[in-house]
Amino acid sequence: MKKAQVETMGLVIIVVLLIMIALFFLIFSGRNKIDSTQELFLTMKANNLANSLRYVNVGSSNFEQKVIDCCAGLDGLACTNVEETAESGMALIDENTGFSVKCFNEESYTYGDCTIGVNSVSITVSSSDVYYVTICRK
Amino acid sequence: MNKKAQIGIQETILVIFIFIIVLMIGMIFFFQFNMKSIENDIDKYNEFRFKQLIDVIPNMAELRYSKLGIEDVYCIDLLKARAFSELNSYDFGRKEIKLDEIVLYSNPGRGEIRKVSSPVCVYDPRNSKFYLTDLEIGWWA
Repeated sequence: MKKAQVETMGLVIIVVLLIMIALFFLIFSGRNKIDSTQELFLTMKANNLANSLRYVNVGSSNFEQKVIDCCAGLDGLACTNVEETAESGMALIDENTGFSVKCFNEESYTYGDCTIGVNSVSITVSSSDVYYVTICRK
Repeated sequence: MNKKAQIGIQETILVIFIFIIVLMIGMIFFFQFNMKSIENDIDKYNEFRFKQLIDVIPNMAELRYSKLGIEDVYCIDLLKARAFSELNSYDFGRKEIKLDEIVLYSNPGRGEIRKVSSPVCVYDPRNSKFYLTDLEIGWWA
């Protein structure tokens, strides 16, 4: 009788152990999934700002023209206008945001308080200068 | 001999009985875990659809700026936005969508509201100007 009891206990322990292993496997297989939706959301926001800025009126011309003038060095105020307009756009975003211009002549300008983060699409203006928006993850 | 066999059979029946009970408890936990996981996925999907509206709304043909039928400028036409705010043909669920002062869509719900916002470009045909403003979307989850 004792031998039977010991055998029964042994079988029960094995079954319980197997079920616990299966449960642990189920629990840990569902973890460590990277949540990419927040990255996508920040990218959409950055793209919205980058696309929206292009045709915004700045004085008698628009933002795209000011970027071209800034990179070409034709107008001393153009870069200031670009900075002010970009900052007015960045102020509409809660997260830390940066704005970068890469000119065709290798010059570059960066504004805002975010350098490494989620980047928008690069907007290429008619003079082949490029600008993009960067939003830092919170 | 009979007794030994009887004990053996009883032992087997007991083991199977306990095994089935433990298995059923395990299955209940598994299905509950699965259901919760599915509910979480649904919540995540609904949340993403809500956040995605900051990309969907500015691209809607009913709102987007166009010139001679060409939509190559990523801006919302202010007059179209005003007209859209008077339409009731869209159902975005329990949400409120505001473009600056214009309420494009309003279907309030109860409880806590979650908000997202994004800068967008707006075109005012009255003075032919493009400017930046805020698109705000609220959701009663």
